[in-house]
This record gives sequence, C-alpha cells and structure tokens, in this order.
Amino acid sequence: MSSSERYERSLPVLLEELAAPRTPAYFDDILGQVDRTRQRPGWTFPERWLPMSAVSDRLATAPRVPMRAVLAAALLLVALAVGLALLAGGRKPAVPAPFGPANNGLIAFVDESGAIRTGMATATSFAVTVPGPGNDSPVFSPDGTRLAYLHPNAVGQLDIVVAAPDGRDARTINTDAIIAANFISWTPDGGSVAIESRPGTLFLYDAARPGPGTIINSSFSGGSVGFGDRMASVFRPPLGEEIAFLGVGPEGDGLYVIKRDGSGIRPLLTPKTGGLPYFRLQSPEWSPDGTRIAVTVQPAADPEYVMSIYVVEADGSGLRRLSPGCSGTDTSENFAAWSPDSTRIAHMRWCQRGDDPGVQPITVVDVATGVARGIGDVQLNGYNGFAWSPDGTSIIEVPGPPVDDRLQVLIVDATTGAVRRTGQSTEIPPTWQRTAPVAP
Amino acid sequence: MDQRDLVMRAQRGDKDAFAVLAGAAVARLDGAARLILRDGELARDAVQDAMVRAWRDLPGLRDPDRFDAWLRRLTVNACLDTARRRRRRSIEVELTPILMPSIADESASFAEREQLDDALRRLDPEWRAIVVQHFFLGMPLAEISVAMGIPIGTVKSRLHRSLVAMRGTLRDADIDAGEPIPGGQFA
Repeated sequence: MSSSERYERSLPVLLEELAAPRTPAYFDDILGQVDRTRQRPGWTFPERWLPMSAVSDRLATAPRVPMRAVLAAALLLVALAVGLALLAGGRKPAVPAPFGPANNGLIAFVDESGAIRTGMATATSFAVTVPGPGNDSPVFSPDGTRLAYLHPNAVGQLDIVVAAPDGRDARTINTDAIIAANFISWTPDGGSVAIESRPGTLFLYDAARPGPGTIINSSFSGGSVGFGDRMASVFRPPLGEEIAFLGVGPEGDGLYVIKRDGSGIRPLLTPKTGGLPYFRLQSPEWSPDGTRIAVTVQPAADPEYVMSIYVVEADGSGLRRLSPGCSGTDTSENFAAWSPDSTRIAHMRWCQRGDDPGVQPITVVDVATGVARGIGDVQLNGYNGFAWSPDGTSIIEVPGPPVDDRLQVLIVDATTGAVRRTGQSTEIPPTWQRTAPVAP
Repeated sequence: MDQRDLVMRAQRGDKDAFAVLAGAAVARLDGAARLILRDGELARDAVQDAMVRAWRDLPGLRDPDRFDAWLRRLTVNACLDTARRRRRRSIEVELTPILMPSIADESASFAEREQLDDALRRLDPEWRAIVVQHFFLGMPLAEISVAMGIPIGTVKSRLHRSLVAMRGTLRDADIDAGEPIPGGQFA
C-alpha cells in the first residue's frame, strides 16, 4: 500500500477525532427556533402539485426578437470585418473568427502520466506534445494557433505556458508566483490568458510577453465572484469586452455583467430584477453569438434547491427555463455548454429518485423549442468533462463515476448519439482546436 | 417508528418528530460544519440556519426517503454560504482550534491531528467541503456532485488536488503558515 493510500485510509479516523462529533450545546436553541418558526404550507410549493413544465412556463416571456435581430446583424458585421481583416492580412494563415462554428482541428488532453497528447479525433494514436508529469488544463486559443496549459515549475508553483499546438515554441507568460489556478481561459481576442488563482478574482496575463498578472475585477475585491467550473464563456463574445459574473453588485447577490475595465455594471438577474426568486446561481455561460447567457439557478420556491438551467437575454430580458426537466422525478441540471452556432445547449442532468442521484447521459436541448435529448448511453455520461466540437456535430466527453470510472476519451455524435472510443483516457476535460474553414 | 414515518409526521407539523430527526443528525452535521468552516461560532450559525430551513421547508420535500441527503445538502450549502459571506466582508475570522480531547485512539497521534488541522485550514472552504463530505460524512462522489452542483469529474479532481495539497502540508511542516497551497485561500 502506498503512502497516499495509507493517508486516504486514515483520513476518516483523523477527521472523526478532529471533529469529535457530539450533540452541540446549541441544539436546544435550534429546537427553540423551530418552535417559533412556522412551516411553509405544502401548497405554497408549486412543484408539489403542478407539473414542473407549468412552473417553468410561468417564467417564460417572449424573446425580444427585434433586439436579437439587431445583435445578430451586428455580429455578422463583426464577422465580416474579421474576415476582411484576415483577407487583408494576406500572408497570414487562415484562422477562424473567434466565435461561431469552425472546422475541427486537434484534440488535446492530459494523459495519465501528466503529459499532453494531441491528435485528430479520428486518430488511432495521439502524440505526446508536452512531456509530463504534472501538466494541467490545456486549452486552445480561440483561433486555434496556440495552446495554453499549466505546468508545475521547479519550486512547486505553477507556470502558465503558451505554445504552438504541436508543443513547440513553449514559453512561460507569468513572472509572478501562481500557487493555485482553479480555471484557465483565453480571452476571445486571443491576446490574453485568464486564470482564477485567488478565489473570486480573475487575473489576466498577456499571451505574447511575460509579465505579472493583472487583476481585472478589482472593483469587486472583497466580493465573491463565482465563475462556475469553466471560464470558457465568462467573456462576452465576440470581442470579450464584457464579463458575466456572479457576485455582489449594487442589487445584492446576483448575475451581473461588467466591462473589462470594471465600469458599466449591469444587473441581469438579481433579487431586484424580480421574476425568479432564487437561492443561488451558478455557472453563467455566454452564448457564442453573445446574445444570451445560460445560468444555473436554484429557485427559492423549490425546497429541495434543485438546480435548473435558465436562459436570459444579454439585456436581462426573456428569462426562461431551458427545458421542463425529467418526467416524474426531480431534475438537477448544471454546466450549460452552448453549441458553436448558439442553437443548442449541452448540459449535465440528474433525475433524482430517493438516494439515487439518477445520473443521465449528456443532455442536449434545442434552445428554441426546449426539446431535450440524452445522447449516448448513461454509462458514457461525460461527467468528467465535456466540450462541443468546433463544427457542432460532436461532443468530446470523459465518462465519470458512478457508472463508469475508466476515464475514456469519447467522441459522441451530437445528433445520433453514436460513440467513438479514442482508446485514450484522461482525468482533465479535453480541449478541441478550432481551425478556419478550408478555402473552396 | 422508522425514519420515513418520522419525516412524514414532521412534514405535517409534528415538532417532536422533527426533534428526533434533528437530534439524530445534529452531532455529525455540527462536526462537518466545524471542519468546513474552522470556526465553532460560524458552524453553529450554519447548522442552525440549515435546521430551521429544513423545518420550514420540510412540507415541500417530495421524497421522505431523501431526508438525510437533503439535510446534508442544506448544511453544506449553509456552510458554503457562510464562508462566502465571510470572504465577501473581507473579515478574517480568528480560527478557533477545534482540537479537543477525543476518545483515545492510538492509531492517530495528537501531532497527526494537529497537522491535519493545519492542512485543512489552508484549503479553500469549497475544497474543504468536498474532503469533509467524502471522508467525514461518507458521501459518495455522485451525491457530492449533486449537492454542490459540480460535475463528478470536478469533485474528483478537487478531492485529488486537496489530498495532494494536504499531503504536501504534512510532508513539509516548515511551510510558511501564511502561504497558501493549491486550492487554498489567500488571507
């Protein structure tokens, strides 16, 4: 038995001794408080006597089509401008626009030895591009030309390394000490790498030249900023000029949007915006077209605080539940991931029954209709992480426990659910390179 | 009377039934809260908040068999909310050592517990909560995943990284007490 196994085995005993559980002296106070607290009547919980779909429909409002159309037109113009700029670049290799569908390039993942491997999704072998051990969180830049990852340095801290997709030209871009990095992401313009190395604080590092990180949400220092577990869509596409964050703003705990320079805060979903009293919000995700945000909500009306995914327009209007949820059981949903064309959302779903968490396969929902569909088998549930392919036809996923603990890297067809096994395994969610469409 | 009957009675407003249910759970939940929050007063607030919320919202619990898991979830969420509020106010509460005389067990020395206490203290509360839920409350990863609203993979990776960090602290007793470790919070 290794020392780490021994340590894990001893933990329950050590924690038991450390906590020394006993009935606390304040238990009588609790009973006193209970005695003075009235229960909410059962009928005030609408989920007990209404179908969940009816409850969620109450919140549905008509989307503001004119605004969407205007934004879509604006985005098309931006895309056109980006395209023209690329054409004007002449000798530069073609790269995709920083948002929307693109061609599928390499996938990259950290193998069991801590090395980063890359290859096309159809490959039968994947080359080591960054030797291990200890690499973490590889993520391709939006234009697919670079790969950022975390690498442990000689003194046990973390370096942010930016390299070519094949691992060459690797250079460390941080000059300050990074002790921990919960999340890592590129800004949409590909100019910077963002990490959350201090809980609730975003640091930006210039991807082109080494330097210290710049805190970009300092106006909320002292605030709690929840970025969820992925930061891929914290910055508003296509330019990343705004950041969606969960935290304390002028209207209390809620979902806000703020400009990158810390100005122009806008409340999107707060206790004062009304419509949906909530217990907690999690994991905001911008749609790739920058018009909407998906956010996980634990509605206050539900005593079990199950999580549901809601979609809200970028201006805060049109809050609606994404889909009705499981039939006949409680539904928990989280980790919305927009398809590159912004029409579908993949997410994790649990259909809870008793002590059974009811793990489901990755669920894909048509955003316009709310129709949900589990893709693949529940045994291949993507719970160790998943991501859309750049062309939106597939989802790369890594199954997780309790139904599968083999950490396989799988490619699942987002329409048919057909699964292709890469023969690889990883504990860290893979990343998929976006490349420009091939010229006709 | 089995627990399901007690829950159903409590759902109909029977405070005695709720007292039995709460009494059976409170010691372990209080222990978990103290481990997560590293402060007895904060832990008391969190457990009280969870218990009163449980009583208030119990009529809405759809499945009586899920009472234990629900109460654990309420308590852990109350702890995390307490930790967030504390962080938000930028007030660093003096951490009260929770070491106290325990049942004699020769398998673990006082020094080991002290080191574990130090290692836990350096973790971010959300990471600490995962360690406590898994190793102290005995919750499987899937239940932690649902309770905290994070993917199982994230639970697993955070648990793994927490253990690595904690082992590192135990190995290196000379580490600067003010220096955070992976997953740790900055003071």
